[in-house]
Amino acid sequence: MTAMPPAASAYPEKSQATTAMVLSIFGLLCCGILGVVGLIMANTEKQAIAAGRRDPANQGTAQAAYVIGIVAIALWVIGLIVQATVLPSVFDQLDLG
Amino acid sequence: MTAFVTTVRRRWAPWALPPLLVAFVSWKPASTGPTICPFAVATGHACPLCGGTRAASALLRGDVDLAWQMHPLIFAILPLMAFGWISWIGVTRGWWNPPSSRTTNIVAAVLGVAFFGLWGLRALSGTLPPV
Repeated sequence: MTAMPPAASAYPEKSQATTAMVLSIFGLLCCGILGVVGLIMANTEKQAIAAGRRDPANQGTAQAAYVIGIVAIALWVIGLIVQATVLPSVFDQLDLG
Repeated sequence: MTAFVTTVRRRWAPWALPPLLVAFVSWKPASTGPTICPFAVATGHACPLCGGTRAASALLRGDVDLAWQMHPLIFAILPLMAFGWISWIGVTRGWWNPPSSRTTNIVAAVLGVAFFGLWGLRALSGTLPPV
């Protein structure tokens, strides 16, 4: 007979997975700096789940937030580099008058 | 090697953050070309966070009026960031425990409501920053 897993309330800490997911998505859609916060929170959530302090039912959400956070940061950094290097010269060459 | 990385992360990373942020807000608003905000590119309107970097840059140059026009919440975010930075140093030095996940969730929710609420009000009054 296998033991039942503990109920969510049995864990000493509340989950941050949903918050991390929301921040990572907004990092992807709005401002990449939110992706940094989402990524840090998702990483903290994963570590807390591994340590048994938070409900492992949120492992998938935390992992998804982690990946989306990385994508958001990558796109943000690429956008900043493109904005700083490529776009000014392109706009200089356009005849917008 | 692992111990070295851990030491750098815990001891020195907090001290690298403020100069990096100051360098970022000093450089970014000076760059030319269109916005890279995906929301602004897709809709033509500023997102709830648009104007934040320009507001921080204006404050850095002492232009309080421009900072207020770009994003009024910068006056709440900067003290919160300073508090978070001091908390981070205290946690890495073992002076106190990190905030509970419940507290972090509440702060994130309150900030989300504040950003979206202000964004709605500014959209209705036509005072959103240019994109």
